[in-house]
Amino acid sequence: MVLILVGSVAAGCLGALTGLGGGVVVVPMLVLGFGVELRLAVGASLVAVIATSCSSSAGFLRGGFVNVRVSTVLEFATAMGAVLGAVLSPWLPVRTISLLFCAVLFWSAWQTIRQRAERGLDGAGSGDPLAVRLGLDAAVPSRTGPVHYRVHRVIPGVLAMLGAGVLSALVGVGGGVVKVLAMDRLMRMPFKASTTTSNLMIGVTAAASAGVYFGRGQVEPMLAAPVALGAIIGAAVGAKLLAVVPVRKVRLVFAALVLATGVQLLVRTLMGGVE
Amino acid sequence: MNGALERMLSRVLMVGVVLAALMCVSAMVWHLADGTDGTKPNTAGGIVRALGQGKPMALAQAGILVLVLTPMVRVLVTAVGLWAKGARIVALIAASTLAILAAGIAGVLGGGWGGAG
Repeated sequence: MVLILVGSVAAGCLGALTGLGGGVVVVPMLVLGFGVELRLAVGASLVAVIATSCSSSAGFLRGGFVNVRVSTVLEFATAMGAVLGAVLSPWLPVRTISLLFCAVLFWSAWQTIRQRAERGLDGAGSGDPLAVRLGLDAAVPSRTGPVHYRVHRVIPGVLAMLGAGVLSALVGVGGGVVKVLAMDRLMRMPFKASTTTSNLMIGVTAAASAGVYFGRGQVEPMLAAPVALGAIIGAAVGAKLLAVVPVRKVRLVFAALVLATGVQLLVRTLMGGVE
Repeated sequence: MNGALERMLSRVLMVGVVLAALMCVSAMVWHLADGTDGTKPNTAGGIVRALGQGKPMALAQAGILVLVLTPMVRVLVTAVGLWAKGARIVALIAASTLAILAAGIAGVLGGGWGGAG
């Protein structure tokens, strides 16, 4: 139980830093390290993602990193996508979609590492009129004070979130990755605003799935409780770290976790675990 | 922007996390001391009944349930807060998200996903 707690602290810290939730660490840790059955590991991992999201977002909201309006708009699209994915899953080529998504993950990891300079902090540039109408433009703290930014390409961002929801429903991963990438690349938000806003959103996405696992009896309390506790502690540490760690290092950690997610999904798909 | 809504949402999340953590820690200590409870209630009614019977696992499940419900409460507070600030369109979007989530959770808590108290 102590080892699970310690491992979950690391997962919570990484999840909070990157906006990915930490499930990519918890599932292999429980399955490979502790021999836990996959469905119970996934149930515990969802609880860890919620714990990470809630614990870190409490700090990020106080710190002024999170764009609440963007998260609200994108959460709706993700929830709709999840419903759509669940409805369409019998008719979609899930294995092919999964393999294509692996390729996208590897490409995204490479692109994230390649990008050296932070961009998108263009308070004076022209944003998306829809973003202005919805009041999505905001500011993010930096070492030199708050930096205003404009939100771009709202509709493509919403469509990407629909895709994230569909992917989550079909292959069980991708939510956090697509959220961060869509905000960072499509909507041109600052990287730390993207990861922290994703952190807030993944709690809702995971809660919807965790509710189903809970109802099916696939959340084992003696497994999920220490995982949740560890994730809460780790996420609080990660939230403190994000304020002081340079964006470049956060990008590197993010790319490493995206790569790990891609490898995990590829192995699972090739082994027939995604049908 | 560190406004009143952000501070309120932060408080909501913090209360949910602390409450869930306290319940989980208490359940783990209780279970280690007692060590005989193998129950795993997975509906709201089942948890309340098992708590009444003094089952530590029910307390852990209740803590996990508090954690699962915390993001939903956060969305509710977001909808109300944005409406109060005059951001009606975004508030309605939040309310729609909440409706989708509530439908799923209502099914779970009522045992609609195959849960058997």
